Amino acid sequence: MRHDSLNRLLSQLDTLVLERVGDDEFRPLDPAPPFLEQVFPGTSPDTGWNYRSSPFLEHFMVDARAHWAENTDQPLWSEYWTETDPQGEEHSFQAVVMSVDGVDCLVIFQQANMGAERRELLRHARSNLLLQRYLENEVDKRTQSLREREEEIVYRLLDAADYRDEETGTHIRRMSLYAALLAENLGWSSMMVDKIRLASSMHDIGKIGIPDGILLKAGRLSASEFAVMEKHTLIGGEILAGSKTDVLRMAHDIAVAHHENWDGSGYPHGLSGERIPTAARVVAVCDVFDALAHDRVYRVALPLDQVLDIMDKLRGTKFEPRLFDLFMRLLPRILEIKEQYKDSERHRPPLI
Amino acid sequence: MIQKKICMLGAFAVGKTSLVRRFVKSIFDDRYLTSLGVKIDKKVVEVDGQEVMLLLWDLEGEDDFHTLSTSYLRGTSGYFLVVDGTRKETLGVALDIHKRIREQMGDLPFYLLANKSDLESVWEIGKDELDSVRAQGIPVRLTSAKLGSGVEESFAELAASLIADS
Repeated sequence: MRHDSLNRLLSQLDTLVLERVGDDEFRPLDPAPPFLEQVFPGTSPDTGWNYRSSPFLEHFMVDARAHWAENTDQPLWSEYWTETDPQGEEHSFQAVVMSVDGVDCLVIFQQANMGAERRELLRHARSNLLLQRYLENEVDKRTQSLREREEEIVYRLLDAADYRDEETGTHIRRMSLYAALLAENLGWSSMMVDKIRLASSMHDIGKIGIPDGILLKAGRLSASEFAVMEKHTLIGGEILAGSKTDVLRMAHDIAVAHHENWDGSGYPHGLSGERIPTAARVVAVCDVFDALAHDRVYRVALPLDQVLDIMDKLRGTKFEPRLFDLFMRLLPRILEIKEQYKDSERHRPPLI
Repeated sequence: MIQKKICMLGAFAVGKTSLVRRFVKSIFDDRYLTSLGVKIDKKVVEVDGQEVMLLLWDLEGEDDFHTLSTSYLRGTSGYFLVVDGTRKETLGVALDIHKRIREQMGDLPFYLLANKSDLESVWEIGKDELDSVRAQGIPVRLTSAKLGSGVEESFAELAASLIADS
């Protein structure tokens, strides 16, 4: 390409190509583009190019000098930057420094179109990010609101069921928090932890179908009475069966299987080991602890060392060893929950 | 005249450009116009009877598309970490930038500007979180580029710190 054609091309591209002729002096290699004098005051064909009017370029020159000193073939690009002309109009630029055949060059591009396009692209992308985040937040808020509503309904129903049982709302609350703590430490996702927190509260829902004479009996149950009592697992299972909701499906598994034993000696189906749903295995440990550590109609609460002694003997028979060990590791936090949600006196119907 | 370079840093769309526009030109535009690269504005302020030229480096916000090149911090005398009170994650971005600056440049005067105080009723960043930030020795100021509240004062305070520091 002829030299004058190249000059015309560079001029049309709004590009300024400068050759470095001294440590701090530059000579334009092409006719000055229109932006030059406008944006870089103090610059003229006679006085040369004054980059010091731009704090950005003055800053970039430090990197440029280091780059030229390295004498590398690789170009060094600046960030995009914006200059404002005396009329208040903004212009975007980008600079690149390189050495060509031993000549140090600085090229400045005015990004009239490309800069505007890139800015618009970024604006769209970032606006979309903001919108996406806003929508995610809205979904989170709605989900939280639905979950709270769901919990309130469950707790109110449980409260109604508990009204005739010896188990109080605080037992339910403690149980669900113990179970959630264990699940969290098993590495479950926060969604699954939330599910077991709510689902475990329904573990004894089937007691609603047990006659008062057995449910509220102060003394030991006879074998036939115990056989009736065992049915609360199956009744609970029937109440919770067939749901499409994850939390109710988990509640179903817990209600049916929380009295199954690790060694297969439990009820109602005599399941053993990993055939017992994990959520039910978790609840089994928590339920026994809370039952032993608190008053019941047929006995007073046992001292902690006695509770733990009994539970230790059940490790590997009633409880999955791994879960019992985890429970013991978490005991300080379990005791914090126990302390935080103590049983309180409340009005109950007289025992018949 | 003394010149001091101040960098505006933070996540994207927190209001860095709006704060500079409010401070330099006393204007505010509600439209979101993202910054591209670097823009430098100048404003002369008076500190203890002395004129100081502030060079305000408004740097493109950090996000998935752009990470701050710390080479642009070279020569900075102080900085603002800008967060958007309505977006919790912008506090994390600001604190992360602050950590990187301290590692690279040591302690410089700075303020954390909790911007968009005109929308405080829908802020995700709570008082407790700001108190916890303050407890880490980070000076926090509430600003609204939209209403102008806290803007002039914050720049004046930082300018005074820069002069006291020099």
